[in-house]
Amino acid sequence: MGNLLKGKAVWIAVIAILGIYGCSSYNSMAKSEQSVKRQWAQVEETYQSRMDKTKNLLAIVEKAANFEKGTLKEVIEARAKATSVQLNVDELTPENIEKFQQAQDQFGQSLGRLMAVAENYPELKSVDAFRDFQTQYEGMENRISTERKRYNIEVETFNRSIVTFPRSLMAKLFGFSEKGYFKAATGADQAPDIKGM
Amino acid sequence: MNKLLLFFFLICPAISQLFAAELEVPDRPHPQRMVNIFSRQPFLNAREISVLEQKLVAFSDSTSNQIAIVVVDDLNGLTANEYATELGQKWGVGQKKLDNGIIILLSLGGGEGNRDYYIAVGYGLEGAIPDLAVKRVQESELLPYLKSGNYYEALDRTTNVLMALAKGEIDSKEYAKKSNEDEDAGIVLLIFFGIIAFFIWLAIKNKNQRPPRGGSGWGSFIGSGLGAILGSGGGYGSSGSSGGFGGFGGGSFGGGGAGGKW
Repeated sequence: MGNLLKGKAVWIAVIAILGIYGCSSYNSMAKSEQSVKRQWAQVEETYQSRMDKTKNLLAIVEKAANFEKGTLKEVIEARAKATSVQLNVDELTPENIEKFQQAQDQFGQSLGRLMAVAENYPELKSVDAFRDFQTQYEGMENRISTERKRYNIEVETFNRSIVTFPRSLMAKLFGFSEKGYFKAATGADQAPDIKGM
Repeated sequence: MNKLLLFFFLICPAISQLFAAELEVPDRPHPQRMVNIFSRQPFLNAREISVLEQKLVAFSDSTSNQIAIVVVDDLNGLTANEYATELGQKWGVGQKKLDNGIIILLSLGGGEGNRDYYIAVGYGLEGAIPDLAVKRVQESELLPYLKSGNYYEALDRTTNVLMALAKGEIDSKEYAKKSNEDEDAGIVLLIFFGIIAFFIWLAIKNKNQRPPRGGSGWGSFIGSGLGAILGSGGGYGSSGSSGGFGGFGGGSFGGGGAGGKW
């Protein structure tokens, strides 16, 4: 009789410990996921701001006579494509992030090419609004790379917390899955490739 | 065996901390200063540094906006923007909820035409001081004097304009409002811990009334832990206001600002 009671007590203790462990690991994973989402919002905002500000630039460049039409068209198309790729904050999977990054990077690179080509158009460079955009352009790219770097750090923390054992079991149980990173190699800071020009 | 385990528990976090530390930008100086000259080249004399320092500390005290000047020889492979943003974030220049810090970074390492200047603006001041405004300040106040080697004039004039711009966005009134919100949160936290401590005290008391079973060490362990938390909670909010420069407040930077080379 005493043994039976003891056995029961041990089981209750084990279940209680597992329960507490489960709760605490769920909480920390959920918290980390929240940080990822918050940082994603920042990333999205910087990309959106580039999208918005470029609209003004395109209007200026379109007005400039004899500006190379091919480069301009490329930017307009890439911008439209990037606008169409929007991610839901609950779908930050590696595949989705890759798709998003591809569209944004393509836009960023075509924009970079346009800014480089514009160097050869003194008429354009003398427009105040264009010079203003040049300054903003730098800031835009800096903000994007800053927020992207921070997003990657948050994702790294989150991913690490769900793949290590025994947390990985809990993560499966609660339905947490790995989130996607931004890859550095194709970043906006890469020199624009000149072949396409 | 236990000692070995304890050793690992103590040493592992320390090692991972070591690797996690960012080596690219210098640590926050002790004591904290607004004007930080890490460069070994001749730059400002002691009197000029102290005049700038006093001006910036007074500005921080009266408006809560913080402008830090950092002069280095080398950017350690980072771009000037990355360096200034990283450093501002790491030091926490500006106040925590307002993010109203500014970093004026100069790198003297390169030769003429290859020296970097950059002004990074915290999130909270991006509205008052957009990148374009930074660029204009640099063109009219900073660059001409840097070029002529008149560093004090360059920094004095630049900070004057930045101060006027920042003050338009965040003044002492707004800061007082925000920091009151902070205090409220602190009080809620204190009450919360107080209630927990009360229950633990109750548990310990009940336990002590029964014959001891060798488990009471636990209760006092938790109790002392809570005591430590409570103790540190008591000092909440007092660190930033004790006269003179209270230190950087934990502001954030998002890559805003402008710069160039001279």
